[in-house]
Amino acid sequence: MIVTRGLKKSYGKVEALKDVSFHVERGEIVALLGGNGSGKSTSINILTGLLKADCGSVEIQGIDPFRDPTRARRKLGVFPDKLGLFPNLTAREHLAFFGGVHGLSGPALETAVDETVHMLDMDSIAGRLTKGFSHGQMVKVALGRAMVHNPDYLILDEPSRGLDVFAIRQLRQLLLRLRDGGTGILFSSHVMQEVEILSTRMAIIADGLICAEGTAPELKEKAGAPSLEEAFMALVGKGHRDA
Amino acid sequence: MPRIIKLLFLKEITEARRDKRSLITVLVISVFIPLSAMIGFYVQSVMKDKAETIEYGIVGGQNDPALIGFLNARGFKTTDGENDDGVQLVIPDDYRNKLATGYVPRLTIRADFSDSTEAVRKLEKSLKAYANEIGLSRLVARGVSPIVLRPFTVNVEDTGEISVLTRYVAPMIIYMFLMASIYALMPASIDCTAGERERNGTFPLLLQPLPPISIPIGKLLMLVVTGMIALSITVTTGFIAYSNVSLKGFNLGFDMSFLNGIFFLLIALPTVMVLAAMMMGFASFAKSFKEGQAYVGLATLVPLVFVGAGFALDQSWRPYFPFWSETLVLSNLLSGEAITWLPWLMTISGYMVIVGLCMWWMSRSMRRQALHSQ
Repeated sequence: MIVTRGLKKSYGKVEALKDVSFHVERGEIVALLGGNGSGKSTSINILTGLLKADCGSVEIQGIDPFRDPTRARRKLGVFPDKLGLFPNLTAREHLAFFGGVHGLSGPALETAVDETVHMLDMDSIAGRLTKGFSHGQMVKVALGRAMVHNPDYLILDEPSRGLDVFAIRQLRQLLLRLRDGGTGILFSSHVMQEVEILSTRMAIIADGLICAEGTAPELKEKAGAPSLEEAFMALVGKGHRDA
Repeated sequence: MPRIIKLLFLKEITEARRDKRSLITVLVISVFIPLSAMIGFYVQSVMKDKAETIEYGIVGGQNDPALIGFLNARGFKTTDGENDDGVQLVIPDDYRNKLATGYVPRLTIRADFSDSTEAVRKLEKSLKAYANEIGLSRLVARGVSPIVLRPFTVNVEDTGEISVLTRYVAPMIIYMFLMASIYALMPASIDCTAGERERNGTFPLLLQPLPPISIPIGKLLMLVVTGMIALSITVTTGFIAYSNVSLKGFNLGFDMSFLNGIFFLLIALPTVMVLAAMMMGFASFAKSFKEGQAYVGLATLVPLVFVGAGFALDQSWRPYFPFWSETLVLSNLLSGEAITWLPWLMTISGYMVIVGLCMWWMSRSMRRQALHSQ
């Protein structure tokens, strides 16, 4: 299980996280729902061990990612905010490299790469250098890179941005399949429809605070709103006032 | 760790060999530099050869047959009358009269100096020697001993086993070889640091279960291999050129065997390593490839500064001084002189400390830089 408790993080005088606590279990999809600058990316950077929280704790299956980042990251597959592909490597070479970094080699690596290529429907582009790829194709490679080693948890920072409707549907089906296979998924988004369809639970974050946590019906009931968007607006507004 | 470094190295080298900018620079620079040096030596050798084989046109040779005899005795080939293509010596008609009456006659050398500098210098030197002979004979005629003008003579003996030319040229050639590796490293060192940062490529690497130090080490190994490939091409091109092109008496006396080529590369390896680490270090300050070009340009000044400062040093300290140490070892290797290894070993130990510091600093700064660019 991924557990965060009372995370606080400041950059100088700016408080990016004031009190962030949530958990993600294997076999569930948790959405981190929030606007721009709400603290989603900072939370994810703390989860991956890149940033140290000023206060609070993080555990990934009992491992502190800042103290032992190598062990913690072996449990994770991360789809970052900026894709950062290597333009002179093919899609297949990307997958092979990141699979290798996670300890796969030989036939096991080849099988994992083949399966990922097939799962993401990348057969036609797998042998091409990524420098000429469209945004959708690049997203596929970045997703493949995150999941080629079959991680226990996937952390996705706004994975559907810039994708067309076909690619978004494909992404949804993929994430649901991975969830059913036992992968715990944490994804950040501000697209309400996507969050409502995909997530088992959601945590609404605003101004560095978790304002509310629960399933979509629970949040709607709590806010007394007919739609998730209305509920989000109401809860974020409450969070802002509370803050 | 070694497995991870191998993976990172293979990733970096695959990217570098597909980067046209890096590939073309390595190929062009490593072939161009030794060939341009070769062309320079060839031009000099042709001019030297011309000075020895050229026919000097003598206008007014009948005015001083003794001078013509003097020149012929010194190996000059002379012809009567004007020589449009070469060097002419004009002896005026009033030459003999002026010489006899104590006036100073004027001889004229006419030539295209852009083409015949060496031949003109040689003729001028011989004419001065002839004038000196006349002066001495005049003193003897007046009963004055020529010793008055020559209180002592100087005998110069070269105690070195190699020619002065070799000693002069060897560091120059080695310096050019090292410059070849520096320029070949430039695009690759910028691309794998500032270029990768510009493309946000460092961030996904930092999210992997990798020891932070392994990332710059993988890049450094790629750069060292790139630099050594460039240097191998340079050395091979240089050795083939110097061995097969006739330098017409411009004998450098270098030992250009295959084994020496291998030794040359091995001795140059730590230098390539420290240059690569420094260039990476400088480029990693930049946020884009363009900015990186400016910073790495500064890094290339470091060896130049050390080489320049070395001239001000006492000769006994130069073997311990960065970039002089390996130049002297390589120079001795090419010239066939005995090599003293200890100063070089001390210098490369210092290089390894610098490489280690660069790697440590880069592994620390990469995370901070990647987060800032998010």
